[in-house]
Amino acid sequence: MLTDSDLQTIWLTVRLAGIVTLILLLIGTPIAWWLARAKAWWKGPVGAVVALPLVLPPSVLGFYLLLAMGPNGPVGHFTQALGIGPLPFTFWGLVIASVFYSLPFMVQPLQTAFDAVGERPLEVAATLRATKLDAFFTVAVPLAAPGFLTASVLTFAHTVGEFGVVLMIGGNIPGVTQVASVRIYDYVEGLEYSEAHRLAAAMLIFSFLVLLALYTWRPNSRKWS
Amino acid sequence: MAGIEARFHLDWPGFCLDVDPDLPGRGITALFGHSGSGKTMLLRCIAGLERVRNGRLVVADEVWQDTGRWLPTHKRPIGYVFQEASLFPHLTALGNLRYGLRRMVDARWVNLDQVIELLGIGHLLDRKPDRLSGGERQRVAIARALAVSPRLSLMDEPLAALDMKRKQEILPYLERLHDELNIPVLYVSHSPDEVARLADHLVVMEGGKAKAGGPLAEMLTRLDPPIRLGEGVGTLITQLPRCARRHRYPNDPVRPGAAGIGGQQGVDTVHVRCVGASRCGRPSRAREASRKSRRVGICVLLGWARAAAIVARNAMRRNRGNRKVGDQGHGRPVPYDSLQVRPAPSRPLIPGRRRHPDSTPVPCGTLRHKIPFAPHGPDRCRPDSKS
Repeated sequence: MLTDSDLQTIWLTVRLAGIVTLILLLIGTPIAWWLARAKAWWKGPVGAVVALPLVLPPSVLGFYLLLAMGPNGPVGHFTQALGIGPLPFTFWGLVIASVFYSLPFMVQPLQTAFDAVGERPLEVAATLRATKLDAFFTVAVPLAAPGFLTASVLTFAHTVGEFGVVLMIGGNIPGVTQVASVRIYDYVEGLEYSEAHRLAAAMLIFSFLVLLALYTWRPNSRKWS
Repeated sequence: MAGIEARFHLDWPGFCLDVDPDLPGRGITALFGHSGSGKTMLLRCIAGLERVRNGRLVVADEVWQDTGRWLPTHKRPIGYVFQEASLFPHLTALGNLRYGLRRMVDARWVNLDQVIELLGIGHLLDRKPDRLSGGERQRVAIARALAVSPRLSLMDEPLAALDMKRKQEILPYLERLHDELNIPVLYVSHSPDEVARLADHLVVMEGGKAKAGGPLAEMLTRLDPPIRLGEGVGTLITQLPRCARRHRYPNDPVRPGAAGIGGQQGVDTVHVRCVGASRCGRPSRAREASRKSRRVGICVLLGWARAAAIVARNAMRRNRGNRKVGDQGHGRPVPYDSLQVRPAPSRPLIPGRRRHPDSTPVPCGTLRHKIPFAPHGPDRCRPDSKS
């Protein structure tokens, strides 16, 4: 079965995906909210930028992130000044890259969910003495709960499945940046097909189960009445 | 409570609002007008859901909006009922009622139990909105808006999304509300029936302007009605001269001494004459018609025949302490549904006199209570050219 180092890789992958999902919940929610409600002209450009990772080759995104976070990039200067050192080829560098890469998978379902909530419930909440923030947490979030679930699952699964950006930013350091997809690549490069088979099968089953859960056990989207 | 000063000026492409209506701070004030006349917008401005520059809003001597002052919606002591019930689907009916209660800062003077009892929703409290019927949902929504002890209640066509039956189900509750809770209400509606049943005061909106306003009975008895519904002209005759009773309406069961509206002596029968709008719809013509019938306390209405009858019936109900008229013998008011506008055979307005050249015979109708109600009254007021 899976070796210890395989399990270590899987644990790293899950940890990475979990952290990225949490960070994106915090970052993506306000962005999605703003995109769903704002009427500013630069809503379009912001939406486009958020959606970029959907169409960009991961290598392009990884390349720019590598430049920015590298010792000579602006982010790199900043992190070095803070005494953290350059981020590429570290776990947290990988986290940051994944956050960028998975951003649309969090923002877009949330934006759709917030759009579906509409203006009316919040107006109702306002007439019932709720402040905007209060209304957001007690009305908009519960009504958009299915959207939050979809977005989280998609983000998690997408982060588990990423490869290109990881290779560009994280490299292939076992226990630090070697995630499952890269390890499979490793096995295949080394012609260790049986090991590759096991891990690939594990990934396949995991992905299928996640999507199965998402598509069958969908909370009833509540009808606004 | 002092009156409400609401002055708003808004100029959007395709829509303009420029109002300074005369709104009393008590009873139910109906904002009446066609779609797009700005009544909902006015309500939203008062609620603070729409922010209009150059507005001034003073409610009960408290400035809600003025130059340099803006009270956000959640700080205004209002209760707002939307056209659709707009209940929070993730909360039970009780959860919906409590949502506003939990956030109240000002003193509570409306008792939740009283509101629940008033709207008859006690048995629905633990249900989610998707398990309530449309009428029940709207009742919960009304209760929710009242539970926060509003100092001003704003109702935006709360019955418009409901069918006839549901409307009939809710109207009595609204009437009880009017009788039992002392909350001033601004009630947006385009239904004469609702206005007549509920309102004390009427403001007519048209093209973003408040065209006219005044106490309901006064507005309905004006000879130059500001309201035109295009359905027909109804004349509510509250007191007929004897000769008219004898000669012009020989078949109508008017009894001597009949008088009605506005707290005069009670009547047993209310007469409404319906005149086709196309024939006699212009105010001048209507005025002529009423003059010719030697009016004494006649009110001329455009399309408001049934509404006027309801007002008259309310007047009767108020009089019942004196004479028990309008009751069905046991002190109970006549059910609204027994009011009927009945087309009568067409006949000249004034027999024997030359009519206006282009005026064809005008069908008249009588309206009485104690007649079983056939489907929707106002339609029957539309004259049939063949009859």
